[in-house]
Amino acid sequence: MAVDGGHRDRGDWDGRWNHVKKFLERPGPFTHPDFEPSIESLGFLLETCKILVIGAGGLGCELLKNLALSGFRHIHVVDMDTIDISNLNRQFLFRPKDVGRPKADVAADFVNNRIPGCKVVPHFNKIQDFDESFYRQFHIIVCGLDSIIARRWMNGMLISLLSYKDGVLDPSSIIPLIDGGTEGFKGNARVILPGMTACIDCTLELYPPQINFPMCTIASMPRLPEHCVEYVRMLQWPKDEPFGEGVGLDGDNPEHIQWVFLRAQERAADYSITGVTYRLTQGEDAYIPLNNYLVFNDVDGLYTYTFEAERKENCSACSQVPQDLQFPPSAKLQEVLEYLTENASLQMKSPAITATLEGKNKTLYLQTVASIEERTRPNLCKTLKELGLSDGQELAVADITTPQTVLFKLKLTS
Amino acid sequence: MIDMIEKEESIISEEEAAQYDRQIRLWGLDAQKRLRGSRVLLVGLRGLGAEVAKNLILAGVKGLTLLDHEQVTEESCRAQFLIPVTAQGQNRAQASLERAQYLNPMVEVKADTDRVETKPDKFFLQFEAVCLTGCSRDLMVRVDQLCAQHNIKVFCGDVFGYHGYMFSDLGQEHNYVEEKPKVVKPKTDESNDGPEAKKPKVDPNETTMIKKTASFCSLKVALEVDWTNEKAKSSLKRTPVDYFLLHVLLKFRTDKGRDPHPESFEADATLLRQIRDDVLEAMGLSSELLPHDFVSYCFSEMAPVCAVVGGVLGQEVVKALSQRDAPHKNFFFFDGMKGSGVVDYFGPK
Repeated sequence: MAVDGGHRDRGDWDGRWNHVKKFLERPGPFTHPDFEPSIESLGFLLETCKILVIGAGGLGCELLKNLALSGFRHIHVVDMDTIDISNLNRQFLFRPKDVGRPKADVAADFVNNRIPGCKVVPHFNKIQDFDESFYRQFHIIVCGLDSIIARRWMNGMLISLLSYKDGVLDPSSIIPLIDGGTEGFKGNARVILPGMTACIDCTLELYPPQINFPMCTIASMPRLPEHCVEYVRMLQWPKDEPFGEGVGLDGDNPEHIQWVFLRAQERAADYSITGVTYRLTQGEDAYIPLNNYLVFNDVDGLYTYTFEAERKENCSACSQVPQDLQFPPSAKLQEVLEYLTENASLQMKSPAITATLEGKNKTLYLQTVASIEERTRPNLCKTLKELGLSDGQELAVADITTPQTVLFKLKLTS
Repeated sequence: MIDMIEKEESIISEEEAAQYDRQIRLWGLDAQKRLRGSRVLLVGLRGLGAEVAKNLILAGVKGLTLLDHEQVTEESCRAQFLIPVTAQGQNRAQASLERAQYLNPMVEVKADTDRVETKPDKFFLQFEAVCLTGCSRDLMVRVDQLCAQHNIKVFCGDVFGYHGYMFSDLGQEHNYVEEKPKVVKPKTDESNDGPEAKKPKVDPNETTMIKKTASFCSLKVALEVDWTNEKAKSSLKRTPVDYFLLHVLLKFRTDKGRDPHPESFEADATLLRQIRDDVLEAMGLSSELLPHDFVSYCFSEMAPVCAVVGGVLGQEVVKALSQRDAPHKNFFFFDGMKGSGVVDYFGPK
């Protein structure tokens, strides 16, 4: 095989990549119609292709191993976490001596020392620490994240990189996103071509809604046991700091959960609310698998199912269709906030709403900065009319689920 | 730590509880204890073997013996992640030992360099489970028969290019438990007479353990299904083609003493097609069952396919040893080109 020769400089030997060449250099019954077999493909994979792995946890470790063994050489990995002893039962790139060190660093060291020619660059960061200039350099991005919010943010970032020439999407601006998630015995994997195939937000309704409650309900008008738990979690814990100064609530620490549970019960008793249980306090897991693309369910026997998710016509993330908000002028701002968080297609976490009023940019409500939250909280009880908003007004909404502000057009109904 | 292992401890140490926390939450402390008391034999340390070794060592079995007589070549030390690049010329099991042990010091990992064919019967009897990769059909059949008699769980698995399979024989009577939500029977003095009151309600917060039994057939019987009778022919449409692919590849392995190798692609491809024709004809089936280009996808071991099959295989071993949750019965086939996994049963009804 003539193509095997002349690669000794890469540290290769004859036939090292034969198995990979089998699908890169010849067509097959399952190849994409646009795929052109070429001897160049292998070279690209080995020499040029820059791949980003997000998350160096359970999925991340497996991903790095598989990618490195498959021949990818330019890999970056991002993870904001440090190693905990409970990770060692599955995150096999880490050892007991690594506990406390950043996952990205240790994972990169491990792979670099192990696979000749492979260069993994670690980033001990949140994905939000980087902007377009960072993400633009990659040919493909693979996610092994543990939160839906992070996925949506990544999804939004890649959509923001798309460029259109005369209304036509420029394919070279597409960075494929391969997203995977697991929970217990279940898992899923999906391939997203931003701008072309269904994005994360297109199929957001398939995720059960992550319940968010407005601050005023939590602070002064609880009705449900969940409100009591949230009160303790969000307001009482930072105030009391029961486990020491600066010690945050660890959802996996039974002592923390127990404290929250008891305080939530006390609050519930004050308002004659029943239903606060330990299980409720523990809450749902952060990641919930999505019924999309490849579903792997190993609970009752094995079930794998692959299907094609459809793009949503008016997806708030990828459709470029302007989003409407319809409310009567007598509606309170609180109702708008509830809509943004509870609507199955939007599922925002803590949206900040701003509007241009009398030529000035006015923050109507912002939750994530305590002083501004306190200052703007009274607006929640005011009507849209009282706030001076008019029909056709543009509202800019920022949220942790998206790197870009989402513009809504306010339609005041009569 | 060593003391604890030898005492057949029923108490789990603090260190184990911390490390195994995330899996104990999933399958319970009882299951973890049973794992802790189990010795497993793993034959073959190629790509799939390395994945299974990783998964079982991380899960926390009592001991894992790595058995492989082959030497490390330049190729093999880069096909799996346990063998260091400096280990050429060493035995594959030996070379994998250090990194395997390092994955979890609480597991006793051993390396054995003998040929599996030369091992006497009593060698296998020291294990609770045996996992065979890269083995000939005859050997797998023989070991399966021996182990089944002694209530040792048997697993077989291989990866050929994009395709992989695993087979399990957990014996005629494999007992296990399943955790199900508790069914609360409706009270008879319920004032509401509607149909709702008569339905047993499921309480999602309360679960109960239900005891079950599964019966498995031998590998010999599973592979020797008769396809000439009418009933079998009618079920052919629903049968994964991978089952027949497995027969072809096992025959190649028996005839050539190795698996198809990219270095001799042309000759091996021709032989594979010949074997396909012979095997399917002997079964009374059309050679069209395996399309002409099937040869393109079964050379070498694709790393991600090893990961998937190794994951399923590892989990089946964990389930069988911990006697918890329904086992797959009795084959799992993975097609890496389609991303499809199928569990199917081959054997007597």
